[in-house]
Amino acid sequence: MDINYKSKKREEIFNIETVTTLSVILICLLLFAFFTVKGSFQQVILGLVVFLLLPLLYIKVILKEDLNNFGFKINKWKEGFFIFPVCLLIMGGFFYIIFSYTNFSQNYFLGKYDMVNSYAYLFVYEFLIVNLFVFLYEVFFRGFVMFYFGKRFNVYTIFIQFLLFLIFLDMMGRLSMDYVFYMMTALLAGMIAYKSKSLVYSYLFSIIVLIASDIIYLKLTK
Amino acid sequence: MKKIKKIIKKIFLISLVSLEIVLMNIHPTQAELDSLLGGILGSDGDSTINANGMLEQLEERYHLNSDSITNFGESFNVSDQKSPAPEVDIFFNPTNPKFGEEVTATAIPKYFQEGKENMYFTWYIKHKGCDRELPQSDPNFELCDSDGDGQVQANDWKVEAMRAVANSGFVKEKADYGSSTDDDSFNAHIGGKVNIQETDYCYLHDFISGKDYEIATASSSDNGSSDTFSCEGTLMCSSPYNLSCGIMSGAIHVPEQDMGSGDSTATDDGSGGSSSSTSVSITVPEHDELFDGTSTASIDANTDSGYEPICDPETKKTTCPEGTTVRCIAADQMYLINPDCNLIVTGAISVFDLGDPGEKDVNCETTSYENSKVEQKCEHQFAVAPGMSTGDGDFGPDEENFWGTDPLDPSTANNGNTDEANVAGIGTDKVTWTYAPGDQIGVIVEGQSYMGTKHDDSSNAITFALVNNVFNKEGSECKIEEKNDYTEAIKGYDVKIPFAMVNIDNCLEFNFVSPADGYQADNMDVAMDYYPKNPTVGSLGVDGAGVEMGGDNLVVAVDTSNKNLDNNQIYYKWSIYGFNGNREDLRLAKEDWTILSDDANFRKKNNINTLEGLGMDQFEMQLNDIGDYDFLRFFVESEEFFDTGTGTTGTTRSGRGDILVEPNKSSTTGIAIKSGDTDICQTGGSCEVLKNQIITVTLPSGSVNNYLWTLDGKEITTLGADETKQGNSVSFVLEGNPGDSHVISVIANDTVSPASTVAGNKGEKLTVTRNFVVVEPMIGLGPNNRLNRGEECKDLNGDTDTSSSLGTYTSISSNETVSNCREKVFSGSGTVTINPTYYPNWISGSLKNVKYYVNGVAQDSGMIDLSSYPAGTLVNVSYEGEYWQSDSERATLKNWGLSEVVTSGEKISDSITIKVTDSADQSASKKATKILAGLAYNIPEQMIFMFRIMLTTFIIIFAAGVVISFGEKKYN
Repeated sequence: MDINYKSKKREEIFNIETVTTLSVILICLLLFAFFTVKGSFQQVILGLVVFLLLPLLYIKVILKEDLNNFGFKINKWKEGFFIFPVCLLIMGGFFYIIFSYTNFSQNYFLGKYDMVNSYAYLFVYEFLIVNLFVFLYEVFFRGFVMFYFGKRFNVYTIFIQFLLFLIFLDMMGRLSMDYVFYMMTALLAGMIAYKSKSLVYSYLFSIIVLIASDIIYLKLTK
Repeated sequence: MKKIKKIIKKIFLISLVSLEIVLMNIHPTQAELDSLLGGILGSDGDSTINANGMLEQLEERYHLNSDSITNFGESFNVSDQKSPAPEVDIFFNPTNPKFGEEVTATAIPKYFQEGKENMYFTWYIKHKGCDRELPQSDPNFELCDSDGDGQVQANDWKVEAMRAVANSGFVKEKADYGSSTDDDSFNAHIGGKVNIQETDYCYLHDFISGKDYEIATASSSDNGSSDTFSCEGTLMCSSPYNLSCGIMSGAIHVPEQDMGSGDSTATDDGSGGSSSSTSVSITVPEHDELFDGTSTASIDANTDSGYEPICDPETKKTTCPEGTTVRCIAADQMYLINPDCNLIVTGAISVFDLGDPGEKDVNCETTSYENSKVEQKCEHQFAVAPGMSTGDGDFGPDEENFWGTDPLDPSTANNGNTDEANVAGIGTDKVTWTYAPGDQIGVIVEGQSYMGTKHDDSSNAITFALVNNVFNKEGSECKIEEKNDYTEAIKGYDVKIPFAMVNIDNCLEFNFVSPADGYQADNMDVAMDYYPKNPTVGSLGVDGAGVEMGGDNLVVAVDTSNKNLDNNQIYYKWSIYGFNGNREDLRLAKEDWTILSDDANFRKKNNINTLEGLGMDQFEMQLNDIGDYDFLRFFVESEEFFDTGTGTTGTTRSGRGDILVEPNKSSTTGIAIKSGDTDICQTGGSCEVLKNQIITVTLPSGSVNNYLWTLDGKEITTLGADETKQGNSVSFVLEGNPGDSHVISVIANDTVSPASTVAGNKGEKLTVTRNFVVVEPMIGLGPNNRLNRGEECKDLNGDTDTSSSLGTYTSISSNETVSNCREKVFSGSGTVTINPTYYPNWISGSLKNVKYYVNGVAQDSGMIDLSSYPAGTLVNVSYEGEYWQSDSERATLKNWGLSEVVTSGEKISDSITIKVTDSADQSASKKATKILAGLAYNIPEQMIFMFRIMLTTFIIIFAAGVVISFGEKKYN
């Protein structure tokens, strides 16, 4: 089912579906934060279930929506590739400010010794762990949260998903300068996804920015 | 002030004398006399003048003490001899010049009327070996004969100095002395540049007698003066000589000789037992000493020196020149002068009479010279070029050449004076020359003194000052001679004016000073200080093993104010002494102290490496352990090379100093440290605390009144609402990450204000420190775990379990053999109790939500029944709990600027695996449970997790579907 936002009449914002969806979103976040897990395997499984499986099931089973409406498509590549470099430039400026005017480089904790002294280790870390969670965050926050609320709040949905992301970080005890690039990426990736209506560009943007930030950090501090 | 007092005294005395004279000479009428004297004499008017009565009345009326007046009069009689005379001092810069160094001497004249710019300073320098009358064969002669006149005299010394003043280093080889075109002459007026008195009178002050003489001489022998001597015979000045008489045989007449007296004692033991003592004189009677054979006798005799005896007008005694003796020889005794050997041999002359014949104390009378017969000898003492004169207003090319001045520059020295004025020394109170060891310097200062002459004009005495004030040196040519006086009619009176002569050049050799005078190796002035002012022993607390980490770094520094060399050239030697006792027992004698720095163990404990060495003006030690000593005393000895200025071997100068330090003895006990009501620091070593924990530290109130609490060296400023100063208890939040350490310290004393009613000021003080280390809360399950490694490996039933042993290792610190056990897999059978080990231990009472799981199934407690599991089964046991600070503490967190969230529960967990072993107690009743437990065990843990997560997902989707189904579908 194709949904044309402009052609739809304005919906009532706080209906039962919206409240239920918001509850599901919060439950997912709480579940990820507090569900007891042991070891990395269970942590990854938990992430896949909470951020991927549960939203997909909810969209298909409860909302009965097409996944295309939640960014699982490649369209509007012109908008995507237009805003992509703009956001990269903004992010570059943000890099400069953070590295130049804050003590980020002194305090940032990238990881254990092997990480900061081995590019091979870093490569594995970035492309397995970071990549996986960037993908999951894109599906959940940009795909599920942002595209769902996009129907009701239009462009403000970018900030809604951004706010939820900050709440999520806080619940995880990670609302700190170490995750400042994740926060900024969440905001800009939201803009990209909103404009391109696709998760592909926002995902590419996020993974590029976050890996680049770690590499730049290493280059500047080592 | 002294001078004013003298003037007042003089005026007072003159007034008193005048009053007496007036009273004695007036001739008033009888009535006036009666009225005038009535009160004084205490009568109705007696015409007889009673001077004593008058003076007694004066004394009474004016409270004049006769003894004081007598004393004053006696002082007045000699006051003229006490008046200050012009002098000069010389200072050097530098004070201890080295060989070849330029040194400047500065003259400071005193008691001269004019300023230095109007006085003459004639400097003279004598190099080592340049003594007067130096033979020409001496290798130093050319150097010493500065004026080139072929002899070394005082003028050479003057030329040596004044040449340096005049040419000021000008290189004369550059000059052409064919002519002198500059106008650099100077006419030196006697007494100074501004002296305009009609007649110049030069005066000489005898610093021994205190008398002042005009420098003058009688112009001829026929001078109107006549001496009368009380001598009935021949008056002469005799000089001694040694007479040798060869004698073949004969006798020498020896007169009677008094050998003194002796005691004679007589004792009568037989009869009365009495004794008596009488004094008898021993006399050798007059006799002739006979001798035979050839002999030569050496006899002291006298001869007439030829000098005329003169009469000293002051003492009225006959005097003779130095080396001769006044003798008044009677006519019949003249044979004692230049005696004949034959008379001696024959005994006609006694040898005892020959040694000291005649009368030596001869009185005399003399009359003054006439004024016209006396010639004033008021002359400059300038350095002169041979055949020329200085200060005569003529300074031609020859003189320019001699002094080495620039013939084209009127002031070669560029000091505002002409070249000849510089040679005359007008205002040149400084001279600079290149110093060589042995150099001596002096200066003749010529100027007007404050002393006025007695002459009937405005003249003041023109005086010469020498640096050592020596104008008369016995046994030398430097002497005041021709002392006499002349009479001059002044204001109608015959005024006697004493005069004498002295050749000042002869006195210069006694008026030298040297930069090296008094420059011995004095002590180095050592001042010591230390930092910190209140050092504490062991202030850094203890480490995790309870071992003291150390104390304050004590730095003792020494400052030498008068060192001559760079500090790195000074050798320092330090020593440390200790004293055990109270302040009342403290003694400063070194023997009451114990030397500590000789003890290698003491040095090692307190990080003392070096005790002596060059440049070691700072001594540093860490106050880790000073034993039982209450006071430390640091001694330092410093030494540096001392250049004696002789150009050869030097010596050393040294300094010593000591300083006493009373370190605070730090303690790690005596304070209670709590988090809430939990005592968190019961054991020794560092206190283990958690992140963002509120700690309350309390020092039991005792004899101290004031407290200074510091955390990591910074004062804790948080006070209660009703507190205005730190008390015996303080609370603070320990922030930081696991692994961070902190030091809490309290310094306390009993100092109180004098007006305070609180007891104190007994000198009580104490310092207590404790260490904190921030840790992550943990637990460990099983008998051997990461927190609790036992001596041997055990199973969960408390029995020794060799199967869980991984071997042993030897501890490096304690050298003990320790078992290395499995920490995650344990054996057990039957019912076992899982006792967790908590870290830190004190958290056990503050845990919430404690849960035990067996294969994921929650249990009520840590008591687990394993009997239902078959032997060999692996059972997973886990523990979960949360540590929470008390609610009351968390509520106060906002006071510290922290959110309550940051102290939310800290999760702690651990899990072990139990391998079930055979148990003797396997009852049939538990078989069913056993099957279920076995089933549960065999389901993989990950499957359980997957099941849980899937179940959760299903519930969420299902619940959401149900909820939405109750609502209206919006998008159909």
